[in-house]
Amino acid sequence: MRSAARVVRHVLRLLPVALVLALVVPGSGVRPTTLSLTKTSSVSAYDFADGVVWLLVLGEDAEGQTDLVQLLGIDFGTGAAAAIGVPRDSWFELSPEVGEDRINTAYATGGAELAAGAVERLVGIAPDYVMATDADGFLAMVGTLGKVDVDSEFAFRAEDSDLQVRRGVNTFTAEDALAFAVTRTLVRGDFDRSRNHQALLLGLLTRLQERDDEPGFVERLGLEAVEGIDTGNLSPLDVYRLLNALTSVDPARTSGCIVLGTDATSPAGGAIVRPDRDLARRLGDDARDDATFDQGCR
Amino acid sequence: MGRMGRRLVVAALVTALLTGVAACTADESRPSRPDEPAAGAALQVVSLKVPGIDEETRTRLESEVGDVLSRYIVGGFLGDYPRGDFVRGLADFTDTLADNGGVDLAGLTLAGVDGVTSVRATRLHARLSYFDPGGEAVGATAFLDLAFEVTLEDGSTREVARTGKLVLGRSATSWQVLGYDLCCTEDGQPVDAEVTS
Repeated sequence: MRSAARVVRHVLRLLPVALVLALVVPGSGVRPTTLSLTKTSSVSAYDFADGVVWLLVLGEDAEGQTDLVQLLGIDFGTGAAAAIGVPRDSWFELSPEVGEDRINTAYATGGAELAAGAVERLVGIAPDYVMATDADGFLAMVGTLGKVDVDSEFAFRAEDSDLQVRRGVNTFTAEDALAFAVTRTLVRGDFDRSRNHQALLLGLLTRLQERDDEPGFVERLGLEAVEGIDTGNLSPLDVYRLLNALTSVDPARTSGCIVLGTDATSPAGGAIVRPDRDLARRLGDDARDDATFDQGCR
Repeated sequence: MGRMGRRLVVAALVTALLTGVAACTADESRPSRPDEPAAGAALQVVSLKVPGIDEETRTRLESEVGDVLSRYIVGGFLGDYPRGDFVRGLADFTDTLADNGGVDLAGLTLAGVDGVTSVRATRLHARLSYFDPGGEAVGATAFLDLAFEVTLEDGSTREVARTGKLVLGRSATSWQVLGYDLCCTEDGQPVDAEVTS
């Protein structure tokens, strides 16, 4: 349907040109002709929620810590989407009760509620929904989507894998995508990895949109999500609605920023990042109402 | 007219014009053999095979979803012309979507075609896939392939088609349309022009 819509838009754009060309083509004087016009248009809308929906997406490692922390804002009215990446070692007060710790411990310590609350304390946006997956759930979901094209900003060799990622578009299997997502040995470590996560999420969205017109596809993906992912306060029907609504997001109107910070050492001596809280708030304030970064990522 | 009133009208029209969902099939390998109602082609509903959904359940789902589709088709395309009440076709859409559908009414229905005197359905196909976590269908996608022969005031006819999908969800008591993605063509409208060299 999406490709058909593009064709329709293309035809509509070309129609005036075709008419002009037809009218100025040299001929043997004035002669009547008949043009058979085809009026075409397409319509699309999904009812998921009014305004911008904020979804906290978490990806767990084998120890239950969330190495992937992305706050996604989606404006289903405009098709815009924004991702705010929080690097896993970001260290700040998760809650008054828990105190300071890495953001990647929040989900294991206090579940979706603590993770959502901590991100809200940092960015100033309360997630409407939280979705968390481990490696098995991730592999099942991506496996259902099929091979995914990911535009990598960096060329690197993935950790614990034979995967060689090249700069630009890479076509990944589910296993490749996981290797891409977990690799930390990048120039800026977890900052770059968070950017990779955003590139991967965009690739997954694009893949969903390429296949959503296959009968049964969204339904299979929904079942994988319900069975393999902690969908928190989303009911199965909500998951189904969300997956369908995601097909209305315009990939050209997506953007992502990372909450940067400075390297530091935790009280226990571990490597952490002190997030730039002013930046985090600016990003949140900027994207809160329209899921776009009008002021950029700085 | 209240929502219930609208539904009663729609139900009456469904009965009068479409003679119900004319045929349901349990899988696509068994094509349906629809009756031929007065309004032209009957709605043919087929389901994708879904493991875990038995034939009885599938037949029930086809009937339930087919009723929603019938009301959409009758309200949005069929009926006595001239008419301007195309919004009836959105009776089973969520309220939010129906409001939005007002903007898209010309694409969703025949509201955008002027001078219609009668409409005959020539192709009404729907393929259903179900979202059934836990063995209970709570969502469905209806892939539609609809075509109508439209007669205009000057006696000419043209084909109007709609293809795409409606996404449905089941609440406690009924199915509702949660989303749509439809494309349409309206063919055969001749336009005279002069070509100048």
